[in-house]
Amino acid sequence: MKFSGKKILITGGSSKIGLGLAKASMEKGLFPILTYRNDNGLTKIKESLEDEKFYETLMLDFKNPEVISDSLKSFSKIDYLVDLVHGNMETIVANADLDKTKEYYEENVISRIVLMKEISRLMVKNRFGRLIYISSIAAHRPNHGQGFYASSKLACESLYKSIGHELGKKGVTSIVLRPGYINAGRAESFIGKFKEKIIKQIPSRKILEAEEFVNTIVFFLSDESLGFNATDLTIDGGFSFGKSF
Amino acid sequence: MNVLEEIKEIISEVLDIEKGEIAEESYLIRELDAESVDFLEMALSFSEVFGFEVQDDFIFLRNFQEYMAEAEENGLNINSLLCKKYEFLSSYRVDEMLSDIKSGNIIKIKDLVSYINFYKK
Repeated sequence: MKFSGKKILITGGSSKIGLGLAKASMEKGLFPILTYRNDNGLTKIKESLEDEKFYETLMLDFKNPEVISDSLKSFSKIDYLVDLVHGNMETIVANADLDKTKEYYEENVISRIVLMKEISRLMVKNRFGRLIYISSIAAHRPNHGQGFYASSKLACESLYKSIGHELGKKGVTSIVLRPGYINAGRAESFIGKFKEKIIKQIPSRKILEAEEFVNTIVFFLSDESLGFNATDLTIDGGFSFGKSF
Repeated sequence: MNVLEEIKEIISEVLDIEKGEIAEESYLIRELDAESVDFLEMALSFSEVFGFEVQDDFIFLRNFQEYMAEAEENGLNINSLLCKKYEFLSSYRVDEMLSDIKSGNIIKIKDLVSYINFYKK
């Protein structure tokens, strides 16, 4: 695999996938910048990457869209963005609290627009950039209570795809990945409890491990994948195709 | 290099055309086929080269027609309102633009030069 860029910003850098991606990208000669939002996140990154030297960390708080631009000011070049971070809001639409809903969209959509704007402008300036947004199959197949999560994911998907469409001629491309069940993050404990039931619903009979998904992301960073632009791809072993029964 | 030459240099790079194809009187969209994404790249380069933050909306006159409508709605003099909004344009140039606007987009290279000369420190 070849890589035209070097610096990769990973939001949600302290997550299992973020840390795995940092290690995998370093192996490919890339330089990861991992974002965190509190001291716990920073400690987790430092502990996990204690033997590594070639990475940076960046405090990036999505709860405050106004400061995101300032947080990114020190960078003159970012070649890749892998956007992993996304908050959860579980409630049925008919029960939504208006203040919490506004807060949720501000944190998960508005802040991301600021991030996308700043990063894509840097990329245009350097005439190269690759943006990968990690969405979820819940974006188009939400369970009860996932309406807000799904709608905010869909909004972000559309914005990311638009960037690839609008800026493709400047060398800036994007792809949205929609994973199904991955043994990482919020899904980990759920999978632990219902593994057998879940597996029966997946045609390939396989739950994706974090490491496998990380390798998929690395491929989509590579030059070989650049033909995939302004599109989304589902990685769920066939789970969301067809009827379950 | 003077401002006009610097601007020509940047535009030739952004649009991937020969510098010789760009003149002070060239229309940016009508003749040079610039698109909105090119404007973004130009504004970023102008900011870098001229050392101040170029406002995309102003330099590329994005709200020109809205201001025209605003003047009409409120019974104001269109030229005066546009000159107030776009301080870097002369009243003569605004008149020229108003008589030309029916034929298409009005921005010329010389307008970019005026903007840079006006705001450059």
